[in-house]
Amino acid sequence: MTIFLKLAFIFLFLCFTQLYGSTYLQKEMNYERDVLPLLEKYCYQCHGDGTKKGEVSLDFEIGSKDIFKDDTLWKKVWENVYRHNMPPANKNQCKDREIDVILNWIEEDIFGFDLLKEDPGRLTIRRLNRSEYKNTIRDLFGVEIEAREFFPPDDTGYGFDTIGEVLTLSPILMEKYMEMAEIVLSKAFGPKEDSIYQKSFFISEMEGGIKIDDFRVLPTTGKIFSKVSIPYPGKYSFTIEASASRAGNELAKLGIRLGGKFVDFTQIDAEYPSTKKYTFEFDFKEAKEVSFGMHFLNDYYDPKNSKRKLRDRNLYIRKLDVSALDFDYKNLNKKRKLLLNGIADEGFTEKTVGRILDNLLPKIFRRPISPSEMNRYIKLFRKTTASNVSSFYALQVVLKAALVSPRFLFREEYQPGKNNPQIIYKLDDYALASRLSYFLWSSTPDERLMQLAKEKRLSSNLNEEVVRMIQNKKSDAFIENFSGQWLQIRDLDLVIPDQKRFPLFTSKLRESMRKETESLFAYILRENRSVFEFIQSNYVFVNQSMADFYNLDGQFGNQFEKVVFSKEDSTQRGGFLTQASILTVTSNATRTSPVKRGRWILDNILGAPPKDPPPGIAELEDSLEQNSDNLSIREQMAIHSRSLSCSSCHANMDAMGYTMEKFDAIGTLRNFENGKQIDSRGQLGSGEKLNGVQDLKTFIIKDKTDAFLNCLAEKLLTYAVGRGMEYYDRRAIKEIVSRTKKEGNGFRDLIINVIKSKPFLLRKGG
Amino acid sequence: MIVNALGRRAFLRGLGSSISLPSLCFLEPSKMSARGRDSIPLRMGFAYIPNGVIMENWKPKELGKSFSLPSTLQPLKNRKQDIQVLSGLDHIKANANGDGGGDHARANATFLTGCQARKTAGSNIKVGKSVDQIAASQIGGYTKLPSLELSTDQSRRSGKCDSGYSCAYQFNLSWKTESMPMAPESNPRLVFERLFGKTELKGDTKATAKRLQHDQSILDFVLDDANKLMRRAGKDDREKLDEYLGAVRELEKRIEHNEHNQQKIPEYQLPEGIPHTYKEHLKLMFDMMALAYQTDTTRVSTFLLAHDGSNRSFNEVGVAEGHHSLSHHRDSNSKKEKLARIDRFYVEQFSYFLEKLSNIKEHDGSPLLDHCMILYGGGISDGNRHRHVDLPVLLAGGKAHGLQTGRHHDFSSGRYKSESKFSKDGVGTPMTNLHLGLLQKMGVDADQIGDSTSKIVNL
Repeated sequence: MTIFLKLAFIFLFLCFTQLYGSTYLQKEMNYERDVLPLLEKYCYQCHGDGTKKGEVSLDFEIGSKDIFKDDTLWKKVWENVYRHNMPPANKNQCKDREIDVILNWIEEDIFGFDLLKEDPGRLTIRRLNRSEYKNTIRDLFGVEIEAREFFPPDDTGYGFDTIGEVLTLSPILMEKYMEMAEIVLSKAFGPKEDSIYQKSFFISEMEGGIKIDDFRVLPTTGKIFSKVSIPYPGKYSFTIEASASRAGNELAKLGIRLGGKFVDFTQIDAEYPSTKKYTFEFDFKEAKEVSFGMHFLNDYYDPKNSKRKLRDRNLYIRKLDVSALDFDYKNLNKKRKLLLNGIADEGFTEKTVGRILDNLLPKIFRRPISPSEMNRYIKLFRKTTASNVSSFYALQVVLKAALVSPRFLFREEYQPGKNNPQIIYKLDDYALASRLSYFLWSSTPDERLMQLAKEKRLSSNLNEEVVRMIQNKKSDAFIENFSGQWLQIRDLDLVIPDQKRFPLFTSKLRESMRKETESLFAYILRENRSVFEFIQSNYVFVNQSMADFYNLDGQFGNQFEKVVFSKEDSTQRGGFLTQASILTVTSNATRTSPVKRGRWILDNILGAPPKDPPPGIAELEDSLEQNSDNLSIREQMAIHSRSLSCSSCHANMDAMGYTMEKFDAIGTLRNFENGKQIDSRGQLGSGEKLNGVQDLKTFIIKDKTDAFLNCLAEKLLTYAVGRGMEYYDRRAIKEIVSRTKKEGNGFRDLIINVIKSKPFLLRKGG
Repeated sequence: MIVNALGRRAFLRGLGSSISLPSLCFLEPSKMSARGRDSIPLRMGFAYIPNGVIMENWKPKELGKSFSLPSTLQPLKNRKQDIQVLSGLDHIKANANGDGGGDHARANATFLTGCQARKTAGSNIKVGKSVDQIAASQIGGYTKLPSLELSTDQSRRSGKCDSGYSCAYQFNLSWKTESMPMAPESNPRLVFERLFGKTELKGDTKATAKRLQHDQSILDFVLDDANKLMRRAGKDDREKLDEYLGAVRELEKRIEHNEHNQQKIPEYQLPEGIPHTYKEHLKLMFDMMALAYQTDTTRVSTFLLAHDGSNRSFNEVGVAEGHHSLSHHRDSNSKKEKLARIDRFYVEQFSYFLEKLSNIKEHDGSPLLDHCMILYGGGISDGNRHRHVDLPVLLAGGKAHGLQTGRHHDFSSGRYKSESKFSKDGVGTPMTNLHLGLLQKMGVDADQIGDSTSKIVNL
């Protein structure tokens, strides 16, 4: 603990010992002295002195114990004050210090928050989500799998797919884990002795030619091809079911092209529509995907032939069957040996399997395993070998059991003592290693983390480790998963801008937009730049297609490069708010949506998500549609500010959205819409006027420093620990923010502070 | 066409092995169906459409047998004698009832459960066991898969889902327990492989049987693991481990089932994966549902055509705007016209499915459709105002099992006409009463689902 921390702690302790365990009388006193005046000042206009707006009244008879009875009421108050929803934007706002007083009082005197043992929150045991599963398998076995295609999507909570409570495990998932384990092991170790590889390619799995009935037809010289994956080195047969219409004086010639080279050919003597099978055999030295081309080499066309049937020679393909004839075990064994500590091929005994498992199981389970557990696995090996299979087969059964074990699929955090909510534990070193690696890598701890955990030196080396982990390429997973969900750019895939209005938008541009956002995120992360450069920067990252889209001069490649603006033009782009990705996900298919954009800022930048709209509220008209009133979007939205129930939330939301109006629904800069000059002015509830997005950026950086830091810290912590934030996390978050500010707002520093926070390092029994 | 094939199964597709394991009582042939061993079983299915419909184009004006199909239902004209339009059914538990916004999440979550979804973004998810899962837990043992869950959504939305509800509510129809949804599959190829097995990297029959045997011992082994973890787990962790235990036990049952039953394998080309157009995607998923029924691989199935609140645009029918944005039409005629086009698009795909079912013949020559009850509809009637009463619901098929097809029935006895057009109060019949009625047809015992008050027997 630093000296500062110690002092802070003593100070807090002195301030609040009085409150801790205080009696009703004391609580009353606290209420009357500190809280009531604030409620009178900010709340009673609507929620006191007899008024009961929204059925909420904070009137209490002095001296009655009613104040303390209604937990739900105070929960609401806490939420609304903390989220800056109350007082409404168009009313006098509480000062930060006053907010603290109200929240502290609610937390301590109503919720019974105990300052002496800050609650780190209870975590539900977490299942690996599909991207974590994929990365974990990659790091354990060096095998790439298609988890996104194979597993059903994980449910999300609090905006993220890392939330323990919503990561459920339904039977279909267990079924898939069993199957995937089989796939992983066969990819890693090669086929079992009784494996057969056989795959049929129907015409839907081929390209080229024309589809007619059950056939793909080449009416003229050309090719039909399939992408064929060769799972292991070995000898494979390719059987083509084909046919040809006869014309001229020779049979149709079918040429086979493999990986760009002609390797064989044959003549098709089956006459359409009857078919025959033609088989070719090839050796493959390694597993790979190849393009298998079937070429029609000798087209013939004689429209004048008196016999109609003999006029045209065409080639017909119906099906392609690929099967493995013999696997190249010699080659396979090389890889096996690598994974199995050099033990392979000579048959496995209980002793050698013991050695293999000693090495593999702790990696799979992310912690050491006890001798009795090890024994169970050896027993399983013994039992399996007794059923008349090879020792290699039995080893795979044992590993499959490990890969579908709850110890692998769930991240169990071992806890030395009882499950009692009153007890707070320091996270054990292995659990800490896992929390770190799944946070920053979405994957399993590497050898170094495991070694440090073993030596119990991880918690004392956090800074160095976090820096190392962020520099490692594996942190790309954090960049993609966290930024994708925090900024909602994962949803880019769901956006289909109207092609008529936005012909520039292509799937390639969509990908570039995403990459631009990730590039900025990665740069600020790895260079430990200030998080405020997320909001405002004098540089952007572009590749050629983004540069074209943004009208930037210069030659660029496919890779993203940093481009620094000169002083004059530094105002247009720079920072997330003016990136095409974000401007696009916050728009409708046919037009911009100032409401969605404003809401995006409140949700993701300021951490002040507006209350839900009342049920059954209709959305606004499409601006391009002639409705009876013929109002522009802005004019229609003015309805919000006229209606009191709307304006309390919409005042800020709409105003911020308006400032971004100079960017259309895919983020192109514009000055006019439907012939009218764009108005990008907005007035906040407080009366502050913002003219254009630059003002908004400045406003966030200058006036919302803490709000932004707080919001980002909260999102990071939610993602990292996998649960929603509760009232007892507020102080931990505050501490993260104040440390980060002192250190200069670096993003990496912020992450380190999140990692050093109580919710991350501690765990509650329960 | 159906061919009987032995072997050729990968994991969990196993069948016809000679391993002796204790047989489960529900596999005795005499109990194969409530109607005896040779009778054709009744199947049950639910297809969900999001964001409400334009009711005036949906609801027939006349009641009884002689009703005419409004424009949205026109694509079903060839199957008019196979459907019943059921009006006056409500889901009042999808109303806010004090929980504020989030009508889309609620509509989705309540549809098959009849329960008020607990408003939470993540912790303590709770709604209720859904009607299909009640059926699956009782009759699921007769088939390889107790139930099949389908959708077309390939990912969850990031950021927030609907107004503070976890995305779990909005992207799942089927709930095995009040806190655990059955994750739906959206890739037709994977569905096919799940139903009928993978075609590559498999062993021969003997190898498959051997693998099943080993899978059985693997599952025993990990059950032990889970029980060990359970002993030191806290309350919430135990819930998760329970899910795990439940899933493992279900797989064990399935292995036993596969060992004792031969599966029919249809002659159907392996689907490629997710097609480029939505229309093709929907069709393929309906194909999968039909195949599953046809081969008796499952008798219970749910299909979320799109999650409620879906903002998909429909270029197929010339609608560039998002469905959800449009659904708040504020009575603009041009928007309502576009919405009606979307409604009709969905009905067209459903009609494709019904045609398919009616072209497949059971062994006695009767159409498969006569042995299916497929409920089609959504948890919102008027999308503009998020009404959850007088829902758009139709029930197709089941003729051979006594269902009164070819009619329009109103369970509110016309009371919605006299009530305000915009009322959100339920004056009709709880939708869950219909669910109970469907379960009865399926031969499933259930007295209560969500807010049910009695059982609809007039079906």
